[in-house]
Amino acid sequence: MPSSVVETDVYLALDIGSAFTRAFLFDSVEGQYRLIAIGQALSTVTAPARDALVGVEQALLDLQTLSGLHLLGEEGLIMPTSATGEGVDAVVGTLSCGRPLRVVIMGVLPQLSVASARRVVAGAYVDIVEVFTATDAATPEEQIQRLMASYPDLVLLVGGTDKGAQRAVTAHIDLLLWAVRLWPLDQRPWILFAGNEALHSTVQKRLGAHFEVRLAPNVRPSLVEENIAPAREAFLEIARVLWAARYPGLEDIHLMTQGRLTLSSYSFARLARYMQRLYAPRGRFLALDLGAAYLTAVWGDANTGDETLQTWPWGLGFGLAAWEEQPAFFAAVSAWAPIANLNAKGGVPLDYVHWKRWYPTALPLDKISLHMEETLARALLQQVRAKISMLAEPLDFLLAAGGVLSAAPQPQRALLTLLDGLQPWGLTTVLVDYAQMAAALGVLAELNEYVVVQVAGSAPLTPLATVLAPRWQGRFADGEPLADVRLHYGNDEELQQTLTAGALWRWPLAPGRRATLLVHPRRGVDVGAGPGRVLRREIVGSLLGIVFDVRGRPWHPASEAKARLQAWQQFMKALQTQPQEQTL
Amino acid sequence: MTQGTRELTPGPARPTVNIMPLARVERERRLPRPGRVKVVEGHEVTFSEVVAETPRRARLLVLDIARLLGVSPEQARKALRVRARDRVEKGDILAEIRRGLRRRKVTAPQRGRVLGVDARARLLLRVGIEWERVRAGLNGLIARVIEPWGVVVRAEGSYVEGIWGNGALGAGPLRPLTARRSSPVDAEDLGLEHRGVIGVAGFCLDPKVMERGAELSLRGLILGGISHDCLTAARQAPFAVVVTDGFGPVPMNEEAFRLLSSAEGRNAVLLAEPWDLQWGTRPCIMLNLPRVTQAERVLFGEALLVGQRVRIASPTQIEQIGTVLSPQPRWEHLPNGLRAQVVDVRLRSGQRLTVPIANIEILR
Repeated sequence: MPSSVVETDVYLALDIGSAFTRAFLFDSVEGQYRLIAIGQALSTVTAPARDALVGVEQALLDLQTLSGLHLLGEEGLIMPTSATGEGVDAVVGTLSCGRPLRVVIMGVLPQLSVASARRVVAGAYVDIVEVFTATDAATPEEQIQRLMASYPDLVLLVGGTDKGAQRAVTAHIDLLLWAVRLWPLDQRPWILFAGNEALHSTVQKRLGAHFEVRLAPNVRPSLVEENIAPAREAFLEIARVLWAARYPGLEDIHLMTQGRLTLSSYSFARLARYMQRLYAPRGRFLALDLGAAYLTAVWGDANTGDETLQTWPWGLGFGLAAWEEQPAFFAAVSAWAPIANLNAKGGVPLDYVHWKRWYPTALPLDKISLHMEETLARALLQQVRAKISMLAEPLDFLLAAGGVLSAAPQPQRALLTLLDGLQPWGLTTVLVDYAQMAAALGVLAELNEYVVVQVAGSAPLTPLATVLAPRWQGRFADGEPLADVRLHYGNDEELQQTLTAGALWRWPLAPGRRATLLVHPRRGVDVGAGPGRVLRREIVGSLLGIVFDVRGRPWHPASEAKARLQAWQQFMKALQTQPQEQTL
Repeated sequence: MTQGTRELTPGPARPTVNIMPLARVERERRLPRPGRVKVVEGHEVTFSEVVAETPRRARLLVLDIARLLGVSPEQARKALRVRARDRVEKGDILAEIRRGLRRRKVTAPQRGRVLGVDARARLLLRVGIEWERVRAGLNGLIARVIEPWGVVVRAEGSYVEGIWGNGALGAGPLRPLTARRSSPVDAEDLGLEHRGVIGVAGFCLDPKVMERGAELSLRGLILGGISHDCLTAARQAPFAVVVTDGFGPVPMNEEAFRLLSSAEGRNAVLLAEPWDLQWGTRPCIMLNLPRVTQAERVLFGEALLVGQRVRIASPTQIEQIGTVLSPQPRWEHLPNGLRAQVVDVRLRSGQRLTVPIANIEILR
């Protein structure tokens, strides 16, 4: 890691979410870039303001107040910094607000071009509303009906290797030309063609007169090659135009950032990859951002190079609309809620789901509401767990962001929410993005990677805990021994204990310290190295140190709300930090 | 160099909840996609009148003329007897060729309109349209036409906004179903005397109320609160349901209950479309009055001011209505440990609360 900065510019990063707009100020302090302050305001993309710029202005005013720095002049943001140190040198932005774009994919084979097209828009805030392939058995009438009923904002037309198949693509062009006869001009989607490059002129000639058409290099130049990046760039450019038309103020923000306005999910994924290289360069990782409208997850295995980025419209607010008529989700909420009644009148926890869906930006005012927010988060994370098969394997690194986790009044609460919802196992380093700056840092990396390198090692991105969660086959009653653990602190100091089934506890290891963990599991018990196999690992210090989650996998909450609350209180107590920990 | 030219907006704007005995409402009635507007500015409308429409779905037929005639696409195109945009009746000849002494023809299987013919001589025939229609929603007049999206309907009268609606539209005389705004309504509370009325009740925890309401041809139901258990039945109810205050055993706010229960027998319109968080329009209840001069305009939002009446959004603390004491928000920790931008509010009980601005709605 470099010890000095090459550039010493002052950077402003804007993050426009569905619920909040944040402004992060990064500057050099004693030769190292640091996060100076965060301004925050309610987002104004929706009514009553319906102008994203209003929220940005309010966040900047808040940032000025908190930092004591003068950033705004009479004519707006001061840029670049003046001789007296006012203003900023560059602005970047990320956004995760608004409804998803409706995308139709037209490709040749589901496993090839269509799969590539899905990857072009993966992680973006889109809803793939319809897919057409060469193997589609529907009649022409049915295909036109499906296309018309999907009301796309964008058609992503792919298929055919370069100099390869043309017929299927031509059939899709014909289908779009049929639709022209039914779509008024102002309702027609954009067309992004990223298929057989021999068809570029045909596509432009035949569709260009009727649609806004963009051409990008083939996503599948050959059967064994995939080229996603250029099509993704073209998609982002179209998405930006569509969002700007839909949401006033975004164009101004785009100009303010001089074009460096991107999707929060992409930026979040970029930072996640960087953090994974720091904390689990040879392991499996999962990073997730639980926002108000969307839930973004990026996961992969550094050993195989596999990586997936996915965004679901499942945020803890606007995103609850997705579950309105899903009994399984309500069952999950009921199963996790640690309270039986919301209030003295007898409201039930499920009423809270509807309230939050219609008041997505409102905050929990009391302890019960806070429990309910965390309950919803557990239920949403449980849905994520069901979607990510990799979680059946030991997880090495977990990065989490989102208000309910990042702004939790105690970090232990965030950890319990994550452990309950995701139930990772093995030895996992857990990091929570307390400042909710992951997306901002991700986009800032484009401008100055030193900012990211230096800020990533600073306090706001200190690991929360290293969690050892064994799993086992067969029955171990609560209290039965599962493994012997030792922790060498490196100065002849050593802790020893036996892991017993059903327990959750911790050993402190302060940030900046290192220790060696040695685990001897009993037969049939797997701590991530294989059933019965010894685990020896260097551990880095964190806020909570090493947490032993020996509740088993899967772990199910008690059937009674009262028992769930008691268990939660007991676990919270077990995770409390002690004053003497500073010395450990 | 400076970027951006807009003035800074001082203070946060918060959404308003309008509960007004004399209100002038201007309600945008908008299609989901561009379409055609069917009324003109100044036109008087009743709540159920269609003001704009756009095709939701077209029923289509693709006729492969070349295959049906047994000729090449080029020959088939020459054989066409119709052009794009032509209207055809069932049995009309679409294409025809002569083979020696015999004629071969393709006729329209249904009445419809020819949309076009492609290079492969496939003819696209539209044989029906399903329309997506927007109704006026209120009794009033067309204040503005927003081509090609819809209109703004202006109406005057007593007006109550809600937080949840089941998507339906209804009108009828108002009739309280519960004597108190904090009482639940049960299926047994609905009798034959409620046939064709819009019922007003504290809250509903009993899904059978919806079933009973349907049996009695209820025109609508206005509730302070509705429980999770009733929502599915309410969504499927054949009448309009508007919820004013919350989810669960939440009483109706005093202002709305007083206004609605004092209007027993008067005709009301329930526009129970869901709250649109993007545009700020809420489900609402309108009791039309003849043109009134003192009517105040309904707003979607305004800046927080000292002395403003506000409703505190919280599912755990029922009925929190108070007055703003401090207009400038500040950062503070809430009792549960969360940090938020807050203002001070005095409740009707005299209790002083610190409330996040994110949880405040302005009552008008």
